[in-house]
Amino acid sequence: MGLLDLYKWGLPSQAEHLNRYRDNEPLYNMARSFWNSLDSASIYFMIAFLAIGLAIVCFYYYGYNKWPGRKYKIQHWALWLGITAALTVAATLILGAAIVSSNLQEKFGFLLRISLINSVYSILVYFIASLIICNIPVPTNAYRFLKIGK
Amino acid sequence: MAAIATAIIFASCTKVINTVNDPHFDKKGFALDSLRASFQAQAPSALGFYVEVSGSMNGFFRSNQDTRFKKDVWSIVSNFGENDVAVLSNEGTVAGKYAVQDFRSRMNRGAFVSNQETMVPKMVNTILQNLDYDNGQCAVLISDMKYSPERQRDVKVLLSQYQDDIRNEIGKYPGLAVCMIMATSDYLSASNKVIAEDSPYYFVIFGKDNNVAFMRNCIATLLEDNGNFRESIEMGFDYESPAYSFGIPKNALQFFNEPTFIGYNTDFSDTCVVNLKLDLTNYRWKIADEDILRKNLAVKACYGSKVSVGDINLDVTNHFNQGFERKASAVVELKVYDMFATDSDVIEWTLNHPDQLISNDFSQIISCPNESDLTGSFSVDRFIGGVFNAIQNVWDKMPNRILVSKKD
Repeated sequence: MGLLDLYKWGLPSQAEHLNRYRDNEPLYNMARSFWNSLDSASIYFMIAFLAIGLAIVCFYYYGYNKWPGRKYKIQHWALWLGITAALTVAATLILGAAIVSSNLQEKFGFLLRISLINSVYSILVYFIASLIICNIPVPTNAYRFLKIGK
Repeated sequence: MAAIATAIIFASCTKVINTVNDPHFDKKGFALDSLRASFQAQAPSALGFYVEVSGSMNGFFRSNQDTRFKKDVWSIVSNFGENDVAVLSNEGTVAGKYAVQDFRSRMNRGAFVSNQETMVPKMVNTILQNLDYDNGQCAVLISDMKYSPERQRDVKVLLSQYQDDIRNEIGKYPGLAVCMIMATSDYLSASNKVIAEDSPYYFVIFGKDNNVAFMRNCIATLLEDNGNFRESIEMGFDYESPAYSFGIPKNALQFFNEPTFIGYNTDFSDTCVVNLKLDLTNYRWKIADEDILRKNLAVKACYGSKVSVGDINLDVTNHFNQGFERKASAVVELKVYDMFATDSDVIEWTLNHPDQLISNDFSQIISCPNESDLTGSFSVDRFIGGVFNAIQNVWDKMPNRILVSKKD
């Protein structure tokens, strides 16, 4: 069993999805198997947004800000936030295409929705990790604009 | 971050579908029982045909006269390649073995017309002694199965002991299965006049149950194509557990490929319908009948809900893909309702295979009291009784289970 519950708020319900094929058993079975395949793949989607969010936030605070040039601005943080979201969409689409097997035309639509939801999660990961890094005493050249208090 | 991920995973994995804690499913709804073996037909490794040529069979064999018997026997014998056909003597031993073509010409020209008696126990003994059924060999006896030891002085006594003789003979071969297929043919007098339109005779198949089932499907199909199949009965089979799958449910969703249905919504409808698809291909043909299937399908709910069998849709073909292959399946609607006390329930179902599954017509024919009645089969009931005394049909009586849950 996967973690498709993480994505259900942005997807049609399973019943809604399957009901479209009620009158055609082969298609119904394809739709069911597609849903199960999405469910099984959802653990990898979750790993993708966690890994991308954490990797980019680490890179931003400990790699990018060591590069020469002035980066002591919120725009740079926001730029990498955007990159995180875009990269997550792309990675989820590629991952989905590779591991979710189905001939249903809906496949791309579902994967796109999951990718967008994943990008929201990766933004959250990026934000929460930034919040933590800004508030713990670790050395970084980045602007700690999320530091709470002085 | 790890804590958040763990919390998400934990929340997702602790969803309880099996709210009744049924020991055959885990909490998430996965079935814990291992898959059980289902009965499969298998082509025999070798095949032998035996034909009885006693006096009571003469009406089928009349010289140069066309009978449905000749058509069917040729159709069947020639269908399975170049197997020799053995003709049994009055002593029940093999009197001669003929190549298929030779057998055909002898049969057609009436060379098998005789006035021999029929010593069924000896015939059975001869056939089984030479049958390596454990290694997939099958034998087919073509006979009217009328026991008529009229040349013996103690006919009446022998007849009264006939059932026990058959029991003792068959009982020597553990693991043997027997299927009797009844066909009918026109029966001619010595002057070649039709004296019975539908005189019964039998194809008795001996072997291992899987091989016998294969031969039964083939022979019965050929007979049915010719319009001469009447009924079959089988003994010594282990039908195991039926192969099954599920169709599109109503008011529920199948959970992965498990026998679990989630999201039963009582606000939407008080009934949830699980469509159970049973594969009947290798079972007795009789079971592929709506009334008989309904009678032999036992269903019950374990935790207080109600369950009933709704519509049954049968799909039977003996020429699957225009070939010579039987496919028989049934889609059975299992209606689950009145789930008041719990949020889930387990439906137990079993497919039974009772021995006494025969039609009234067949019952009358096999218990015909008069040896000379050409529309009946004198003594066949005793033969069947004797076989049943030695070998019975068995099947896996452990129920199969379906979990239906309101949770999703």
